[in-house]
Amino acid sequence: MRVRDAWSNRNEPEHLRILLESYWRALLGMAGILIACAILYSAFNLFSVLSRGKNVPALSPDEGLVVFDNQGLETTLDGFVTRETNYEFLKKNPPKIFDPSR
Amino acid sequence: MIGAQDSLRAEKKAGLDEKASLHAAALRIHALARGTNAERAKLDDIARVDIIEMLESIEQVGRDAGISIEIGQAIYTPDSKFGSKVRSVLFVAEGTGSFTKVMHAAALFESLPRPSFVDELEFEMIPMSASGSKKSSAGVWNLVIRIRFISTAEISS
Repeated sequence: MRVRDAWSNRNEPEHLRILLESYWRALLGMAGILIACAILYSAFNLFSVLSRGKNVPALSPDEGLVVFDNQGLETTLDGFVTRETNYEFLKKNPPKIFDPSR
Repeated sequence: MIGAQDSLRAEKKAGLDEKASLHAAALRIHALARGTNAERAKLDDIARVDIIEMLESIEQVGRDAGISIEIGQAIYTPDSKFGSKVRSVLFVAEGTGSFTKVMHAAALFESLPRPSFVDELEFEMIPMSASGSKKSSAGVWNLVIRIRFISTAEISS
């Protein structure tokens, strides 16, 4: 109500001051909300990282959280087989890229 | 009195449950470890690359691409990113040849069947007067590559 009145009479300095004050408070409030959201989001990420792999057994106690991942092991080995195949293919079939200086 | 006994019993039960779940997890790990013996040995073989093998791999790329490769620098770092047992060695190598050959070498470096990855590639065309090439059509290019090898082998710095 107060702001609405101030808006209707915004040409008068005392009303303009009220408007500016409200604007400033709104800005402060939004900044506060943004900061609170950032803190909550960071805390959520931090805790999710800290709790990751908590229930998965580690390979050895002194190695930290080295999680045994069977799928990862197979993917890694397949990756090396693919690299070897690519290498052999590229050895016989060099890429046909034209010299840009010509 | 009865409340204290109840809480004691609940604590004991929680302790037993935790032990049982840890035991089950350990059994799962053992079963997985037994089932992947061959794969782990294979990965161990791939990952245990010594410095000589790394150097040979780089020189082999040069031979396969038909350019001579010179290894200028080797920087050893125990890689904290991959844990204390993994080391990384960065090599700076240079090769000169025609554009096609230099590109061929770059492509081979990218798919080297070793635990390695290319950090940086630099291509530079050498001016005709500097290269001393008499062929007017074929430009000579210089390739500088920074390639990083990852290894679990002991490497003395």
